[in-house]
Amino acid sequence: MLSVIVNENNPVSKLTIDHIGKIYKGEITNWKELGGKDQEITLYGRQSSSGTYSFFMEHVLKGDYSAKMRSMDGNQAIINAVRQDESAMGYVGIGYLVDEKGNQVSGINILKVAKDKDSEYISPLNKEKLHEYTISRPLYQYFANKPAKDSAIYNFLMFELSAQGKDIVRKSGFDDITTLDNSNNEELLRKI
Amino acid sequence: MQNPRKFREKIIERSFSSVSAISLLILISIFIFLFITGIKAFTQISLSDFFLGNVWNPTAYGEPTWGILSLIVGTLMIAIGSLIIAIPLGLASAIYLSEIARPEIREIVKPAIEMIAGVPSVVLGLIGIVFLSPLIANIFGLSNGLNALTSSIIVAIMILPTIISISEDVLTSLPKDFREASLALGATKWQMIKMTLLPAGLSGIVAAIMLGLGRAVGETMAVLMVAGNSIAMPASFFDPIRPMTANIAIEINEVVKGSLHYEALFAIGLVLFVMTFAVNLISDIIIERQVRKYKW
Repeated sequence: MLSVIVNENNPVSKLTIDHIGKIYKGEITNWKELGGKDQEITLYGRQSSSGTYSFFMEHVLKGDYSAKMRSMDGNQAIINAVRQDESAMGYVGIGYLVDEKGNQVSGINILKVAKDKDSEYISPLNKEKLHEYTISRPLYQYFANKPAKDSAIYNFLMFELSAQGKDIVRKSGFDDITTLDNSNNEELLRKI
Repeated sequence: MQNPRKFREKIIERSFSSVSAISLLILISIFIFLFITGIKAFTQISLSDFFLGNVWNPTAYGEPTWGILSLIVGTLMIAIGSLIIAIPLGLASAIYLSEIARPEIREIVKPAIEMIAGVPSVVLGLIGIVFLSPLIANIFGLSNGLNALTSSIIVAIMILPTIISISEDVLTSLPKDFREASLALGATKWQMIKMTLLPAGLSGIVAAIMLGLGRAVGETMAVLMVAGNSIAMPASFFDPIRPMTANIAIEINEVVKGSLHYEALFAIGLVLFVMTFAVNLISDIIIERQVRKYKW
């Protein structure tokens, strides 16, 4: 899941997907247009080599990034930049929003996001509304060939799907696998 | 029977010449490799799109674009910006160290300056992110300090030791007669430095600056960390830039080998290679001329 973040001193707290897309495409350039201060928006994104970059482009922007977007080296680099920059907007995986102790990182605000202006604005940290949050994507694992039953890889996959494995995923700040992906997984595993 | 001493001499000679032949071979193979891979890009990208296009966006949502003009401008801004900062500072320090400083001060300061050259560029980049860029943002009232100015300052710090150290060596190595003759004619110390030593040492000083310039053009890591890396054409030193080196470093890890994007990155590498080669060639020519002029 991806969260859209701004500096902690930014009064804007929620946006629609449409707005976020327009901001990143460079069509909305001032926070004033979104109810914030009269200040030019500084965009922070990932480099084109990042999966997050392409996912955000294809699912949120549905167009090209503004050429003015600063490309950062990683999620943490975006958080650091947003923390220092009052006019900033960035996107990061939600695993980066909490530290090892489970506390939310300081200096940034996490925007609530809605599908459209009539829908509910949902925070990516709201566990109950998890499946309604719109900017999420699954992570894939690739293998050179189909793992055989009871091979080390197969057992590892089963471990990841076990309660213990899911617990580790949750502790690392990521979310439970969605129902849809779960059934996809089961189908794939049946073929082994 | 051959003289064993002569035989040994011959072996040493041969091994030395083959070692220098190897380094020449490496240079030529690098160029050929860059050229063969990079030139393929131009079967699909026109030269004018490549060199005069403003937008570099190979991973575009729609049609990819391949213009490197803004990347070239980014590289030139860092090169010029860092030289503007480093030349006056470097020359002043070199003059101070060779002509004014007491020997015991020079013994401490010179090695200290040379140690800057040993600082890994990633560490300087880190200092740039954590310390320098917030400072720049504060001073100039910007929302952030990831821009051409910050990168130029960081690169200036990196090339200062080269400029200072070589210029100082050049000034120190000038014959004592120059100083004595100049002072004997009634010149003040400043007049002696300005009218005798600097012109006499100009070739070496230019070489030092050119070496610094070569490093400024080629520097990647520190710049990548503080430049902001936007693909937009920069309008001032307060805008983020994406120099060619940073662009290659960012994208090369994810491109499919043999794809157009891959070849285009090599084409950028080729442009960089030609640029640094030209810098070195020009400095060689300047040095050659100066040496002839001031033969003593």
